Amino acid sequence: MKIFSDDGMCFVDMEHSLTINEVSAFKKDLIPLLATDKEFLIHCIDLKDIDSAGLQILISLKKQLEIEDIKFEMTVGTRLKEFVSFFMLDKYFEGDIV
Amino acid sequence: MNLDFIDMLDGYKAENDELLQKMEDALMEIQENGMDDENINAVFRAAHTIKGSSGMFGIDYIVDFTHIAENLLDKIRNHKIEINDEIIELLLAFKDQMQTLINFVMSDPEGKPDEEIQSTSDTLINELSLFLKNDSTEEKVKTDVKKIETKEIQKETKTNLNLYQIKIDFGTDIFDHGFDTYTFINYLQELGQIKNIKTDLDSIPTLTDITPTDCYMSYVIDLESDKDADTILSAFDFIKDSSTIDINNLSNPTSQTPKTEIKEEDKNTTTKVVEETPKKENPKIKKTTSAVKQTNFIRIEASKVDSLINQIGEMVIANAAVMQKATDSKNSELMESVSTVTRMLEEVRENAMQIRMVPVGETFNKFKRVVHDTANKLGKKVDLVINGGETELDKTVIEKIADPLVHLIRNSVDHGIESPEDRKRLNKPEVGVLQLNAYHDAGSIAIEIIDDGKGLDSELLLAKGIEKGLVSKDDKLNEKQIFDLIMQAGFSMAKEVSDISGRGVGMDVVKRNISDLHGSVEIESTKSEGTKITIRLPLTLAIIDGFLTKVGDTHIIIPLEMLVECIELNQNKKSQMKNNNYINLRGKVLPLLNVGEYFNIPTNDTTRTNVIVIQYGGQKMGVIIDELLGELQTVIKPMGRLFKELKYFSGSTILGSGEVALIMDIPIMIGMMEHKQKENIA
Repeated sequence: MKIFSDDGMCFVDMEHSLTINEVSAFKKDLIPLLATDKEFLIHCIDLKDIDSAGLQILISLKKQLEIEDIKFEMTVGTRLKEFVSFFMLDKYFEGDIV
Repeated sequence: MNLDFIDMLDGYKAENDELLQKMEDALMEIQENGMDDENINAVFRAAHTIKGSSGMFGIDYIVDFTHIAENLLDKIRNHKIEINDEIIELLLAFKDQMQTLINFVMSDPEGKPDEEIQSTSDTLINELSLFLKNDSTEEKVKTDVKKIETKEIQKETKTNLNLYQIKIDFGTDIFDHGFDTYTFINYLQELGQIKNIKTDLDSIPTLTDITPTDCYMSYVIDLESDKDADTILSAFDFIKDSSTIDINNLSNPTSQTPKTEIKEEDKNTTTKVVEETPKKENPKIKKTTSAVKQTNFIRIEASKVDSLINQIGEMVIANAAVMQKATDSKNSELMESVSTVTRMLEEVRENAMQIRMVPVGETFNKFKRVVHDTANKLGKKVDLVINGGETELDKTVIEKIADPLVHLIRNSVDHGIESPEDRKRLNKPEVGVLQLNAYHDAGSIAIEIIDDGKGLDSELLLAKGIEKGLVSKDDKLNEKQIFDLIMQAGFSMAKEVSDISGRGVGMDVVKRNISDLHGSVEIESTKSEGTKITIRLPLTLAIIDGFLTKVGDTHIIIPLEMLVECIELNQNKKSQMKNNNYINLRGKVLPLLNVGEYFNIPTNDTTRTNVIVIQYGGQKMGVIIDELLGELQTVIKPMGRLFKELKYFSGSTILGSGEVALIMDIPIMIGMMEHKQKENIA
């Protein structure tokens, strides 16, 4: 996972994996940025591995950003798209996927 | 298989091995005592759980194979099909094939079984299907139905599609246990068609409040399936203790029955199957369920226990060095503190050793099948009676004696117990009795295999021994020595070589295996009445309580369990001995062995020597040593190959001073003494 924060915009490149192994670091690294950044783009195009813990943290982030009125956007690759569709959450993420 | 689970394969195998053993035990019980609900339910539950876990792991060929047997078992337990010997034999073969398939998964998780394995599976599926068919058509069509056709049978049964609403509230700890909600829900697709999934987003906290490794996921899933609620519930077997699962049958509003708990043992969990129209949702109590559930067992890798015991062994040695230094310093406070540590270490050691101890009964139960199969093959009737199954023995020892025991049991059924006709003619009950007894005896465990068969014919054995050149005609052998001939390599009394026994390899291997464990084998037999084989084994192979002695400058340890008493051999007693190798011990003659003389150890010229009375297998003897140094926790270290021929010592240990002490092999010493006495008499 690579995080770039600049001029109120946060770009998170999830690279290949968003699983139980990454979620703690995901939270730890993003929490401080909630105070500074006004736009979050989670780049998941290259994501090859995701599990429920990964999906759960994405939902959790989206909820947080909605409360704080911070813009949330997400790019999805095949794996994440399939995963979101499996849980029938396409509608939930509709509008966030760019 | 689903490779996400590859790390959990060992657990999968261990759990399923246990279930298969339970299945076999229950089937053997049914065969012995007739059909009873408890046992058939145990067989069903085992098949059902294995199928469920195999489905979870994505091992489709096991799921397919188990399906028909599960259907058959379901009908048997519901008294729709009557169980008989033919079905039991088939279910036993089914169990064996399951074991083969599970072993195959372990050897090649990603592969598919080869043609031979698959063909056996297909044959068994066909045979099982015939019983299912018989239930509806009352006729047995003996055609070679292929697996595809079996699947057609399955399809035919899909008549009643139900719509279930499944509410799953996953336990917070499921991620910690390596589970993923996706896997469980995805598996539901194997059982039917998922119509809808609704994720409860409200239960997921925001980023600032979430503990990322906890699971907050809850779902409501609509599933269309022809399976019953019980089968659907089984998809969640692995997590049912920590999660809440409600299954409502929406398409069967007529069955508005009160909530039905699936199993007796599920009563203390929140897992329920409700066959009624949806009511008010149960209050969520998932956060408390795992705390309520009591866990009585944990599964630990054997290597971890071995490593713990090795480390404790090293601590014992290190502690002995500290104790030595404390003694040398003559600092009483330090010595007291070290003594406390020693005592505590002794307790830790005993507890750790206890972890390795398992009841022999588990292994003995497996022999029911061996007896059953061997007797069936030979057309004999044999009852296996097990006594002392609760006797505990080190797991390593149990594993190593399993094969020798199988051989001895097969031999007893094959060569010992007569055919029902012969037994009738000899006025014996038609059914032979084979007893397996286990009990503790002087720091060792004794296992007896007793049959009421024809016994050993010492004349025949001697003639065979002479013919094979193992003994000469002039040798004067007593009965015991003649019986011992059967444990020599190449000796076989079987007239025909069968796949059960009679190849002349076996008893010598049995003896060698048991000797390798520092055990012994003893044969007693009476012609026409039966044979008793007694195996004696040490309780453990790792650490023992020893008694440290000294002969000259050599330290010798006597296992404490085999030590009876110590006597001072003063000049008065020495003069009473009059150069004989025995003393009068409270009215009984005690043979003595002077260790220094026997092993040519230069001894110190002391006037005080001591006799240690040792006992093994009901025999006593005294060993003469110079000094008694006291009890010692003894970590057994192997002697190594170079000392292989040093048969009177079973191992060595390192003392606190760094010196090596030899551990005396008491069974060998007593055996040698017995032999020596007989030679003297001859």
